[in-house]
Amino acid sequence: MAYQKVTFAELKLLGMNRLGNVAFYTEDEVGIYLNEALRVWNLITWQWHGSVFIPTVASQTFYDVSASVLKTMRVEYNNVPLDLTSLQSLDLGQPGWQGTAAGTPKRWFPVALTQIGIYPTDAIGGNSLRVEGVLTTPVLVNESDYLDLGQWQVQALLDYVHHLATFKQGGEEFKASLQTLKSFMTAAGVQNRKFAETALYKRYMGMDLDELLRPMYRGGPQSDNRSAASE
Amino acid sequence: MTTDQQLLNELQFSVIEEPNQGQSFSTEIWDVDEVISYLNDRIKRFVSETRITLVHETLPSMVDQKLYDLNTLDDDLIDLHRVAWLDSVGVSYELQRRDKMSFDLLTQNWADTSGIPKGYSIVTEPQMTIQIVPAAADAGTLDFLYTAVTTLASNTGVTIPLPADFCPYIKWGVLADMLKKDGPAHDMPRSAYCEMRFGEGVELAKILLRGF
Repeated sequence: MAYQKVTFAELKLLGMNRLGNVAFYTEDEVGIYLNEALRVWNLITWQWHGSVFIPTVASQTFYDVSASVLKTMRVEYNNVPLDLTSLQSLDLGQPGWQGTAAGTPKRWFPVALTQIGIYPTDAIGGNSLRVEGVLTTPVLVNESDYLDLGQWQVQALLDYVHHLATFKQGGEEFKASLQTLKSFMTAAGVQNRKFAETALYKRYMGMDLDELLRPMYRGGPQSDNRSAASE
Repeated sequence: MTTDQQLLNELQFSVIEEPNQGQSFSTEIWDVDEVISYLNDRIKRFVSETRITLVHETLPSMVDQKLYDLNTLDDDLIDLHRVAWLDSVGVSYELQRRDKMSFDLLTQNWADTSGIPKGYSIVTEPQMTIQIVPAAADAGTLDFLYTAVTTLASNTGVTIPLPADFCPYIKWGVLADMLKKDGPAHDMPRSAYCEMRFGEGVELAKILLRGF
């Protein structure tokens, strides 16, 4: 799919046009809505990826990852990839692991969204941890700030902006705009097929209601009993 | 990073108040303190439901001491995520969260025994206290990972203690509370919608933590 450079000024203009250029909305307001649209888009699609470097500290297990990484997916120690483990695996599988002598880190584990741990700890410190993952959404501030986006992504963002803008109107306008929120979610589901499998997505699409009203038949113990009785 | 002022500004746009970074609400439907209180409640609720950020801290453990005051931890604790006891050479023992009945069943005379701690329970009197069982026979360290809100929001430019990408969902939570209020702003359909969006943020945070 083709991508293009779109500036903040262009996006705001498109947003204002979409809202009919009425005096009810200001450009600043549309800018805020655009940044929210980008954040929600990134949370769903994990669009922006990258890495940051953090220096190791001798004998330190837990590290706060830079605020620019939203989710850590891979860690390298001096360019050597570390194996992924979990805090629970270490606690259960290697009792006393925090007391293991410091050396060269071999594994990493997620602690929270912006925290990771390494095992064993670095003996010397001052080495480099390359933390790779989903980055926080770029925030558009200046008119010339730009993003590489496909035309369909721009349309999805404008759908979300439209929906957000009608919130303050309330009533029928807002109710009608729920369809544009659904369009935004559909586009996000196309970009990230895994999101389309989630309960959240199905709720937006009304698919959970469909399942509730027309439950799938699954052969259970009762049907087995019936077939056994008929034999 | 998103500041409380930016978030309050966005809120004011949504409810047709003059956007002034939460310095005042000219319609007088809400007052500033009330909205800031909604904001802090929602931040705490988001952190509590998602465990999106954890704080790591240690406390020294004394020989034969069973009770430890959690108020001595630096940040306002919401819940304990992991507790471990480290002996004097740093060997760690994860403590299982249990209740007194399970201690009765598993460890004879646990109340009078000391050794390597194996579990802990939350004590209700005195409040904000944990009891480790058995009490440590040697001096060591209690190692905590816990959920906490590290800074309280206001309208003075404080950074919201969450990844910035989740701040729109805090806004939806605050709007849900604002629109629930009796009076001219009472709007339950929109409040329910805002509550749904806040829940969406919680779900997305959980997806991000565990992966798709």
